[in-house]
Amino acid sequence: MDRRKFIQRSLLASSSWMVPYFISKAAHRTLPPSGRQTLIVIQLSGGNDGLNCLIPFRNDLYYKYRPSIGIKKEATIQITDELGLNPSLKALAYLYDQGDLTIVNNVGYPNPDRSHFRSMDIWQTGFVDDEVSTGWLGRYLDSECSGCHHSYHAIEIGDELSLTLKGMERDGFAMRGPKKLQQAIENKFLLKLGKEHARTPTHHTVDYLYKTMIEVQESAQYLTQKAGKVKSTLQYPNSNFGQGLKQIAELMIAGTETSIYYISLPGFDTHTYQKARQERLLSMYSEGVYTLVKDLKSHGLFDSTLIMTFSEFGRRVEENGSLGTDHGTANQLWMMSGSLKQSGLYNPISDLTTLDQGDLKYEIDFRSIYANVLEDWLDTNTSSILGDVPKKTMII
Amino acid sequence: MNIILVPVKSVDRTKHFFFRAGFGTGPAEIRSMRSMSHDEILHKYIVPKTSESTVDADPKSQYAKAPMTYATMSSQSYDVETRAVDMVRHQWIHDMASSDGNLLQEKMTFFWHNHFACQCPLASLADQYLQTIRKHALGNYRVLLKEVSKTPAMLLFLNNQQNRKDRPNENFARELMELFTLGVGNYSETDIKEAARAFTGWSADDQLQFVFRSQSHDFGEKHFLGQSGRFDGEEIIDIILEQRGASLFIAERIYEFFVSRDPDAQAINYLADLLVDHDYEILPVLEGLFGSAFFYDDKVPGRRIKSPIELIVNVMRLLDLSFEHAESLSYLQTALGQQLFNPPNVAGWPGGRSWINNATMMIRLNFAGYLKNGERFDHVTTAPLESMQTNRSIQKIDVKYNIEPVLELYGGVPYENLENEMKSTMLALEAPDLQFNRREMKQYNFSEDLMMRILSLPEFQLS
Repeated sequence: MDRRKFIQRSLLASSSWMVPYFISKAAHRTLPPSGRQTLIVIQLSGGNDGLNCLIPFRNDLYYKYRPSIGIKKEATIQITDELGLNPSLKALAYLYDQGDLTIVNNVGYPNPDRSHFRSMDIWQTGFVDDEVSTGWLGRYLDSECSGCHHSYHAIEIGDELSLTLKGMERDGFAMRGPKKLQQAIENKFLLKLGKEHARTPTHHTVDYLYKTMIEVQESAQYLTQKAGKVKSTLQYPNSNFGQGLKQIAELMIAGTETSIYYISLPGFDTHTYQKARQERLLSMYSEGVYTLVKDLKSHGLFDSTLIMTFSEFGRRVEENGSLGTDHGTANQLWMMSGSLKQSGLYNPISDLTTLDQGDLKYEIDFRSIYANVLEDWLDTNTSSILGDVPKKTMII
Repeated sequence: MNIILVPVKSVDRTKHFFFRAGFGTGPAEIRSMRSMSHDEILHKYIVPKTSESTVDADPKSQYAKAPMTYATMSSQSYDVETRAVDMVRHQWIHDMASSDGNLLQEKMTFFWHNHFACQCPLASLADQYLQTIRKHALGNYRVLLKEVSKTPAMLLFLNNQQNRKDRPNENFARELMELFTLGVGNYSETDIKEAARAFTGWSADDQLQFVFRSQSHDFGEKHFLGQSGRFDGEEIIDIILEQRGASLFIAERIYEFFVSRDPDAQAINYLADLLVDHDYEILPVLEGLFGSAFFYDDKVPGRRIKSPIELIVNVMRLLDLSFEHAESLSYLQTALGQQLFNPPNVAGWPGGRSWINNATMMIRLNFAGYLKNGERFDHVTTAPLESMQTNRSIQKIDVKYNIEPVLELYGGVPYENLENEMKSTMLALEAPDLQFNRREMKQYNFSEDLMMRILSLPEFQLS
């Protein structure tokens, strides 16, 4: 589809999000049945400092720019003659050795925006120049799941639903777990009201509220039946993030018809005292992901799972005066799966000699990775979701 | 009791005013709707009020004299301080719920908290910041902006205590332009760098008071938005407010909050003109807004999703409800997605449809039921960074409420008409039949059951 037309359509549709739920029941496309490929997206919010995740310990410029917060060679987990991982990223080192990890360097987009909110919107919508109010995976749901009756095909673990999972007509589903969901719907009056309203829609905003209520009622019943009793036997970290990953594992082990999971780990905006803070977050990430992968492997699910980890931007190469780093641009993106086409380092790390106003230059457009995921993992048509994008990567 | 009949259209306008300019319709508003004309009501409520904070809980910060960074707080002291901030939240929400003549001031204070979104991890910071936005809520935007920019809460939140000559930290300068005044696209990266230099030295002392540290200030010449000079921070703000973009940006935020999220260029221009013509005085803009035709357009009422705080305050006013413990009220705010002094980021709460997802929707619908039955309310908090490891289950919501004042207003209404009477005063739009049969209508508790059912309607979520 012509990109301009696509944007017009998406803007038009998003301004009238009156959700033709009652109509869309008649539509046809539904996701393939379970047993197919699953995508897990992990969002590191706040701007994770990629340059302190994969450390070019032979590069003097690195230590020149970062005299205080630079990580010394001895402290890193060496993966090549020149590069070492942050000591908190043991899981990455393990997956790297197993061939289950691809590190993509210098991922970004043209004319980088250093605002958290704008840059996060760009990553979540998949549109760089135009402000749209739908997310790239929300539009995937629109395109592939317009006939889906329920919204649990894409689940965000948490209290809020990210823009990524909001489409024009379909949305993902936010929850902490099936048990809490079931408790919430036990109200006979509301159950009856939902059934009646579905027949007589009335008014813009209120229809959206009814639609949401009905979907929760129906999804809670499904998820409780399907996954309420499955418990993972592994010990996940006792953080919200760790317990969220456990929830994902349990839903996957139960064979829930969910093809997309989304979870965030916030707190990476390290303007001050970066080192301790980032390393604590990275450990939380690393321990959680390590357990998840182990769990999925033991259930034979890792080959059909792709875990993508991103952050809205990297941080400035030079440290600031408060033992931290300010907002930067290009960054790393990590892909994990038992089915990677290319594992290891996808492309070389920046040599730090040619910076753009003190920031890393982007080399790989994040949309070319999205295109790779959409076409080769989720098996859908990219142009209807992202418009025209640069040539796709060949990671998966 | 006498129900005075006033023309339907006037009541609808007045009800709409109370939903948007206030916190929905409680007994006081329902009484006003019946006894006063719309003009009288506008006259009564659109007035400058500068009531000071009613905080008497004296939420003394335990760490007022300690170094003021999050990094130096232990997780235990963090918890103690969080409870103290809960006290300030609790007091503020009760202030909103009990406001009357100062309704608009309270609503605008709440509006400014989202505009000047700021996370306040210490109670004393929260209290100071709240008093600042409340004091100037209906005053002058220029003064408000300068005062907020000097609150230690904002200076710390946006790292300006680390903004020093030769080592500028751009965080505050960027958000000042991006979120408080101009919006993205109306300034350059150079403007940010230059503005950051002008704010060097703006800091807070160890008593958590604003201090200008001249030895950290960059007194050199700056080139900012086409002007050059040895600007300080206040002059930077003055230059920003000379831009047409600033008045338009603020007008749009006001329009978005009070009218609609679909911007109307003509209406926004009108409000921006009022702002400029009155040298950034806020009250004339609100007078213009609530006197305009676009505010009362048919497409406006009943289409705005109440924010969690608005919803909580609306219920508190209707039911004369108070929360016994600051902590459980705080949990409720988090669960619904809007905890005061803890916006998700400096852009504030995105609002609108984003308030609603499957999880928050069910808490909203079950809210009245939770209150009535004093049920345990199972929720895990998502506290900010420093206590991210703490998963705490929520306690029972301890509340006291008195349904009599509101029910008395319907004392003379025959039971067959009660449902429609209540719905037309408490809801911003029409709602489906609530499915009470005749036998239930005659029961002693009917009016209370009716009320609870109204509160659990999806329609009650709208204003």
